[in-house]
Amino acid sequence: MLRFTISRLAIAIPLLLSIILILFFMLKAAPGDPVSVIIGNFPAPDEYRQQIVERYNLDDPLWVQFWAYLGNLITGDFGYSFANSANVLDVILSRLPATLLLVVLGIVFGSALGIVVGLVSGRTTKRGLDNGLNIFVLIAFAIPSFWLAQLLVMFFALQLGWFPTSGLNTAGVSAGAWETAWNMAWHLVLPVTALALVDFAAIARIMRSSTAEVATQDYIVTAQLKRVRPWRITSRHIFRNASLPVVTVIGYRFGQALAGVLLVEKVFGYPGMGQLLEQSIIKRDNQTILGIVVLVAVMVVVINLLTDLLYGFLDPRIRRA
Amino acid sequence: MKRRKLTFLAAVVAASALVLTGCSSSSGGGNSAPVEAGDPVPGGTLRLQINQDAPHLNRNILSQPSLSLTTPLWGEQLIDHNEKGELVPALAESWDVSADGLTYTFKLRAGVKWHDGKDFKASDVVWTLKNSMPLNPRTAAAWKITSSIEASDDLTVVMKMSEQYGPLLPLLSGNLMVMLPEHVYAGGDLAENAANSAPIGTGPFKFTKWDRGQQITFQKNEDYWQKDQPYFDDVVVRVIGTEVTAANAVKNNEIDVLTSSEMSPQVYKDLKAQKNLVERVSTAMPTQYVLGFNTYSGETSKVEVRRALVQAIDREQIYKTVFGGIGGEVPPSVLPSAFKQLTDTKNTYEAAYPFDKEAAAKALDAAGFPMKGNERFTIDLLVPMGDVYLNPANVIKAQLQEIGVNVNVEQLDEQSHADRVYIKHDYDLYLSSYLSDVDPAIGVERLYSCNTLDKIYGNGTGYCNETVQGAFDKARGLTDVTERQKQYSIATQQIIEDMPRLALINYAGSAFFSQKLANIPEQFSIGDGANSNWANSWFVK
Repeated sequence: MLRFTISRLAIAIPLLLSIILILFFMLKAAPGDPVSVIIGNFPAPDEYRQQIVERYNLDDPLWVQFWAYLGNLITGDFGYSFANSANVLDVILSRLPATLLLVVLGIVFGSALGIVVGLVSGRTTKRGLDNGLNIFVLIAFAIPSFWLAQLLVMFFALQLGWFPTSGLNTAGVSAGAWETAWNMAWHLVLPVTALALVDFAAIARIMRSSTAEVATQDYIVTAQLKRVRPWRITSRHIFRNASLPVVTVIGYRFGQALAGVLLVEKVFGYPGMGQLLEQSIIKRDNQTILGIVVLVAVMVVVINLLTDLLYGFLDPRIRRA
Repeated sequence: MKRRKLTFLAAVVAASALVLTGCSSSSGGGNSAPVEAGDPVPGGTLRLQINQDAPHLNRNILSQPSLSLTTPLWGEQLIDHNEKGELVPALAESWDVSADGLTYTFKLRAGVKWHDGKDFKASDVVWTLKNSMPLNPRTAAAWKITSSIEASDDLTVVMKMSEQYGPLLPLLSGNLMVMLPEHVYAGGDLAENAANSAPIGTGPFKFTKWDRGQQITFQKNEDYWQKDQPYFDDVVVRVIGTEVTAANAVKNNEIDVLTSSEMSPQVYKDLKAQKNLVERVSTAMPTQYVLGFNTYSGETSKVEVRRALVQAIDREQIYKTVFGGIGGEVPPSVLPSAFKQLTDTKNTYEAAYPFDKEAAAKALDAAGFPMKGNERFTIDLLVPMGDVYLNPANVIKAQLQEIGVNVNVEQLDEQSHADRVYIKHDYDLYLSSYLSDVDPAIGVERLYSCNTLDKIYGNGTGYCNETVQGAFDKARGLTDVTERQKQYSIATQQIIEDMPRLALINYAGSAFFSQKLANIPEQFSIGDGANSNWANSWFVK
């Protein structure tokens, strides 16, 4: 197990380095002028422009800038964000919790519902129920999350007025911890739903096929012949075995969700990392873009590693192999 | 065939409007009338919206639209302007300009306190002007001809210029030059000071907190110099980047004000139909949409071609199909309507190039671009992001196709657009917009001047003409309105003759307000809300 972990980490390091290298030079090649972000949308006095170029070493050769960036990165210094007048790491860490909250809640609710629906759909003998669930899952799978998000806003926020259209809190309301949490939860319902539905569909599909496959295995037939109660067969034997591929998919969904959350954040004006990334790209705030990508890449690598480890934990056959 | 294309285009625009607004716009109805103000009611939280966070909040050294909304809350300048655009006292109670136009004496208001409790003094004004003017892109030119700024006592500032400078007083208003506390800033680098992100000013609201990407919070300044004001307890400025999301928020009563100088017609129509909102149209300082021609190279470097293209563009049709219903106008001439007293009404685009497709086609034949098959040549039209640019570009494309000019519309993000236009000159036409600003010497001049040639957000057309530049230089150095008008008239005439740019639309920015707001600041009638400090507004009970 330890060797497995180490070998996975050993692959991760060159992977991260190449991501940084490629992205660094791609960003430098993209047209744009970071100085205009600092000065604004008006022709700047030459002296002021020169002052900024010198302060941030913007006219150093690219390789010098790259090595300096890499050297700083090793010490945990992600650089300086022009667009936010702050250290990149501080900027990202101030936005990360909101995004993680959204992504984790989306995956938790989406997976829970997906597993239940997939299990029912894979086990049921009623053709109508199976077909109905299948159609529902397919529709959920086909709907782009940002479009669904728009529909949710139009119907539940604007038409019915049940939920707010945007943000993470009600502006100007300061209250106790419980009320703040409740207010936040109320704001999270629609964005989480939009994200969860996509995860739900992906997981329900895997769970259904995996359930159907496990259900034909010899040990299930044996159990049935031994007259074990159907509920017990489903919960003890089928669920545990069928959920193995789902674990992989959930881990893999995490990376996807981090990418997909960008659009959902935009629709809901949600103060997360997706919006930060978008604004950083528009403003050519290259250090922030790099910082976000590096951090997300690290997170995805770690989550995939944890998924593999969890897999081994859930299935003793893999652990012993 | 061509007509059908246009009809199709109009249908596409209308259909996208329907899709965007969905079924949510309530039928019938429309905006309410503003409420009767009555007596001021203290309390409540005013919720404003901006579309992006700025690097910091110090407008003196950063030109960004979102700051025009947040700056007046905390900061004040020497001079303000009222709803008619006239200069009125703010931190300077009065001012005096010497007969030779070179010495300005400002008498400051007594008893004004900074948010940290210290007294506001003449030395603060001297420090602010000396340190901000060279870095502020709009005042950098004035700084070069400033010979001295001194405090003659605690409440008097004397500023001496080496030459006359017409737009000096307007530049000290319009929240372009907010007074900063010397005791907080002194000794360090203005651009690096932490107070830029946590400002201390003299305004009606004190900065309290900035949750980046989410909101900026201000609270009532109990020591504000205007008696009894402000009335709101707090002001929260929310960051909502997407226009449709912001429109949803104001419809759903999550914010109280939505203002934009680039509101798309679809969103505008949707908001106009809301019963819980009140509209205010700004008239005097519109955003102007302009079409720039590449005079460096390509077909458009020939003046005959530019004139012919202008003659084939029906601006009325663009206005009606794309901006229909929104306040605004087709600009008659180069200067935006804000500067009526400086405009010579005889020099118009219409007089020089009345819309006439046949004449345009003949002019292109004569210029050496006859029809080959069914087209003469193909040109690129660069457009920034947003339907508010793309829709007019598509109409121009359709119009120019009628005289055999094939237009390739390319939509680019702001930075790529700037790179292609100002640095690489890799375009034939480009669409952009600018706020006409406090004075033509600041707002308009930069589009045609040799001084801003190839500077980003300056003059990207490559046009540099001695007559025009000479007139601009003279106008800038004059304070007399009639004399200035003469100079702008000379410049206008030459520009219309050479046609480096065509002003397409004067777009009157609209703002929508919650029906509960009383005494909406008059400044919303003259600009996009810039300069309104909300000190004298409140919520009706």
